[in-house]
Amino acid sequence: MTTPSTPHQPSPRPDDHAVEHLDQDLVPIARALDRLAAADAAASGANFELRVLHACTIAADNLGATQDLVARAALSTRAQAPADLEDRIASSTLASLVAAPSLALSESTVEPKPVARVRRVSRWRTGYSLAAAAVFVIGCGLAYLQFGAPASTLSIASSGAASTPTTAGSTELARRVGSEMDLLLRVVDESAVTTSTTEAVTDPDAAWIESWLSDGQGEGVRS
Amino acid sequence: MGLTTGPLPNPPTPRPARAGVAAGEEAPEQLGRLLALAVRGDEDAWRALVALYARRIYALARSRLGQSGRPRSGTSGPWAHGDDRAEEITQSVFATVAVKLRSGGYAEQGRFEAWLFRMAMNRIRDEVRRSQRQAAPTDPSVVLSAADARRDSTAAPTTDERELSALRDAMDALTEADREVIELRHHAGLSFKQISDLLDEPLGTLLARHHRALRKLKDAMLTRLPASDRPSLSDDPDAPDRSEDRS
Repeated sequence: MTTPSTPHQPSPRPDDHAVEHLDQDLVPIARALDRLAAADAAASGANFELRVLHACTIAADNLGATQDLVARAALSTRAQAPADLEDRIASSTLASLVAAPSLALSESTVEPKPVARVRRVSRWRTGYSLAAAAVFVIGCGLAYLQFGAPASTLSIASSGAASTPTTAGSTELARRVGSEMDLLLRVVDESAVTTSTTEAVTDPDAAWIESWLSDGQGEGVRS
Repeated sequence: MGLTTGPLPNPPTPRPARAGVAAGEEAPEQLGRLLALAVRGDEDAWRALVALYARRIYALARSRLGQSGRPRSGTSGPWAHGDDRAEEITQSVFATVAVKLRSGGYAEQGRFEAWLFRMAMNRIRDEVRRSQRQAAPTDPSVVLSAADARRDSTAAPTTDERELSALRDAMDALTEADREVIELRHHAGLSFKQISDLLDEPLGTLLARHHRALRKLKDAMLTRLPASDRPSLSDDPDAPDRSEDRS
């Protein structure tokens, strides 16, 4: 296995009016910094380039993975470069993956075109709206059949009949109907009380009803 | 197609200093060809790219994050992992390069080096911040054992090692901006024009900052080191006159 041995090349920076601008007494410090940089670079150790190449390989092989994951996986090879590292790199698919053009994707016709996709979504939305409207109408119809007209409608009709009489006849009719209703309700109440407690009936109207029943005229009703 | 084990191809050859332009600028066509080959999956091109830039990025990261057992100021991560973290950053940067080149996420416009080192600087900054966030109380026994280990390992440092160690300490005292220029210049090996592009600052400002940082480093070195331990600085006025010794 060959080991690329590239020395640190800290100073291919020949724009060096940088050095020209330095005072002469600072040049030794600049050179010492270059030596320090070379020492830092040399600390990377043997097979450093191979490990970095391996990281590139892993990155290309795991393009969908996160970069941190790739770097940590590559770092696991740092402690000791395995003997077959070169073979592993040689058998990797870095080159093929890197070289892989996007030709296959560009020629693919599996994905629908954007416009068609938008139209399809629009049709779905229209269908859902119509279905929701139909369900609402049917629900309202069933509710009407089950419970009759809404309570608000009834209240309006009844209040209109009771509070806005237009003729004396209608007023008299309402009064009679109201009295008859009161009477009937009272009779029902009193009869219930009588049945349960057998107390004497003192109400004159109830007494009249009772006598009417006792005369046999209300047998049909009683039965 | 796998990576071959042949010799490295011909990377853009660094020219001697004062040739006029910097590495990335001296052969933009050559670097462009190299990148084009790398995009197509040429193994030699990848080897050349790694050989050109990997150690420079590593040196940049190691200078900032600290070496094993010796954290840089401002970082408080585990002591023994400075080298590992520097390599992790290097690999992470090149992994990103591989992904970007493969997916067409990078369009070569003659600014590859600026892009590469900006990415590296961002990763280094993130790592420094992460280390600071994860600072944990230090067990005194760890400090003592580390101090012992360091004392053992530096039992007999050479003059050059003492000088470089003092230089590291002096760099710790620099401001962030000064240190950034120093490291991009000497560790990353960038030209001032490239640093100017990368940091988006005027060239004159960077030159002045570099000059000022070197002056601070020199003063710190003279303070920290006895004259006998700084032979490379012998041309400073405080250095002993060795000509008299020889005579």
